[in-house]
Amino acid sequence: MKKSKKAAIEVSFNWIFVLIAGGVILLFFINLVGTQKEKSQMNIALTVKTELKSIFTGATLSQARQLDIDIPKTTLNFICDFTTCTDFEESDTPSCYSEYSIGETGVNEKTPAQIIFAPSELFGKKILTWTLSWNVPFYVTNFLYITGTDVKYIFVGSSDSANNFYNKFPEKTNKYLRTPNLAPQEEADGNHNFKFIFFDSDPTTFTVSDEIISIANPSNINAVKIDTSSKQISFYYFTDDHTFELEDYIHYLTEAEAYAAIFSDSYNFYKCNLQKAFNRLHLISTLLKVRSETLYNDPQTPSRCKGTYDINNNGLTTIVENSITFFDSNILQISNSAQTLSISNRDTQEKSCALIY
Amino acid sequence: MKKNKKAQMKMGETIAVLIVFFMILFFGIFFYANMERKSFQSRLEKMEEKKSIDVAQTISFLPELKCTAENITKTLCIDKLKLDAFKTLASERTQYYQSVFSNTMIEIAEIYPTSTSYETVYEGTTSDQYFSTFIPVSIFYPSPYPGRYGIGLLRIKYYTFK
Amino acid sequence: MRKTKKSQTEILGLAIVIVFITIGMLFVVKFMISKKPDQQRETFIRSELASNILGSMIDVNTDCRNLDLSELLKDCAESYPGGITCSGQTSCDYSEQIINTILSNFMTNLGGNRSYQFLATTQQDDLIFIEQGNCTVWESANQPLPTYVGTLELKFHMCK
Repeated sequence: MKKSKKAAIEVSFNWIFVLIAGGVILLFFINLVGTQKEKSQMNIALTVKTELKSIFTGATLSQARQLDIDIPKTTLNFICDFTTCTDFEESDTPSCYSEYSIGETGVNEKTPAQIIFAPSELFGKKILTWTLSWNVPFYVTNFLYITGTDVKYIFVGSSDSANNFYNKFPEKTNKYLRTPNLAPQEEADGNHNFKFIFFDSDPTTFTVSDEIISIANPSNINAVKIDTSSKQISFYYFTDDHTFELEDYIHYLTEAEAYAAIFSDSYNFYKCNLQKAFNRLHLISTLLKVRSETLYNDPQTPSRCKGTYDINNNGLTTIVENSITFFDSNILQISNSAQTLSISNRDTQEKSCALIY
Repeated sequence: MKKNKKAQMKMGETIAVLIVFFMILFFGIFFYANMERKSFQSRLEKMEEKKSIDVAQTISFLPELKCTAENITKTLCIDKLKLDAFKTLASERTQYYQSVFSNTMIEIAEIYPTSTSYETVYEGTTSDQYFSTFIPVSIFYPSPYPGRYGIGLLRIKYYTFK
Repeated sequence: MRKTKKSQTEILGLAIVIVFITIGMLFVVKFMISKKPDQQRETFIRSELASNILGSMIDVNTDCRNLDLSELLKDCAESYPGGITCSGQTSCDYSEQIINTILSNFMTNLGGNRSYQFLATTQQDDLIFIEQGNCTVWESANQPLPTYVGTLELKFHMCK
């Protein structure tokens, strides 16, 4: 072979070899980087999950505390499905399908017993938590409320109820108090979730501003109406016609449930967590019933105290029986019995007897 | 040197470099993978430790046990009558409390005025490995009125499964 | 380039690569040796145990007129060796006996043959001192009690 042709072929082979070897090495490193990126995202999600779990546990144990927590910029999704809920009549381990998950990593934490009220989706670098105790009338559990910085809460009303609810609502949230005349002009202000809380006016006749409608999905616009005189909460969803339609209504026992309705995105989510709360109520009322019976049968209990420990009269039996399923008629029964129990407990104090709770 | 032998040597040299390069690379990957595995195990252990603290905190604030007076709580205090009722309740509702306590055994020993050995309050799924957390508590005996305070020691064993 | 200089350059390149790898390995080994194990749980338990032991002792009701321990200790401080007497013992002696029993029972149930120290002191005097074993202090807790002779300091040291 002529020398020049031989050299030309040799050079070509050299370059082909370089291309192949270089290509393989490059592909290898690109693959490595891709895998590491996925792994890193999973790592972050796992860290966030572990930290959030501890934070939520601590937050749930403390009372009336507001916390703001910095997290990596991610999406938190909260799910609680009432249709999956079981109670103590159906199962020894009643629970509901509920969890929170982090972004699209698939990393999630099941919350079968934790009672958390939050929008279905939170996005951002900060979450705000608030806890209120649920007393019926004895302490049952804490409700944990979670929200983000892209949720706007618009309290519509000028009555004392509206003012009270607004004032007690956490300071660090995007909360606004508007009269029914001014509320329709409310703007988006960079938020993506909108919650309207009505007190006196009818949500079905309310007009949401065009700016909010253009920015938010209909599922991210919802409303509740709180009637403090009849202790009733009504849930509304946003229709394609850009109006609020009544979904359902239910009574409430304490303000903690009214706030829970404000933080929840849907009636289903609210009911799901209240069923979990009812499961706790059933257990604790059963325990107090046994305690009351023990005091009643204790030979050291003075006769002046025995009447207050009678579980058929002090309200405990009724609470136990009606706390199995979260249902409107059960709520009304518990409400009456809670008052009776509160009076009985005060009686024990006045008669110098051990307290019922 | 003859030119074809020289070319073969050059080729061999290039291949040798590539072989060494990949050997170093795979050695590095093996080393890194080993480190990651250890880091993962250490992370799992840390998660379990955190969980044991969470469970201990949950138990020390449990409404089923804590002393209350019209919803005012005394911290780290257990009502004796509630404790006795809870032992029965927990044995009937073991599966439910499993979701609250995970794999835990709760025991209590009375320190004063009576001194007893540890009695089981709740027992979930157990294993050979566990973290123990001790929590000194006041024990309130409500009867006879006005009641009196003693001392107890909670031992919470959080079991891990590997 | 002359052939000898070319091969020298190549060998230098190889040597540089090996130096980089060696430095990398040194960093890795250093990282592995110096990383201390996380002691979050240990720290949490240690900080809570001593203070909770002391806290639980303060409110306990005794058989001495059903008074709680803090009241007996206050009496001990205010009228040393104690104005209140129970079962032939002054409040100081009675308190010391109770505290001894409580701490001994605690240590039995905690296991591990632990040492401890308990002190009740005012600015004027050391009223009660209880020691079990030789003590290298592991964790301490303080509880001040106000009295009309000044603050009564209760100190409890759990030892390694």
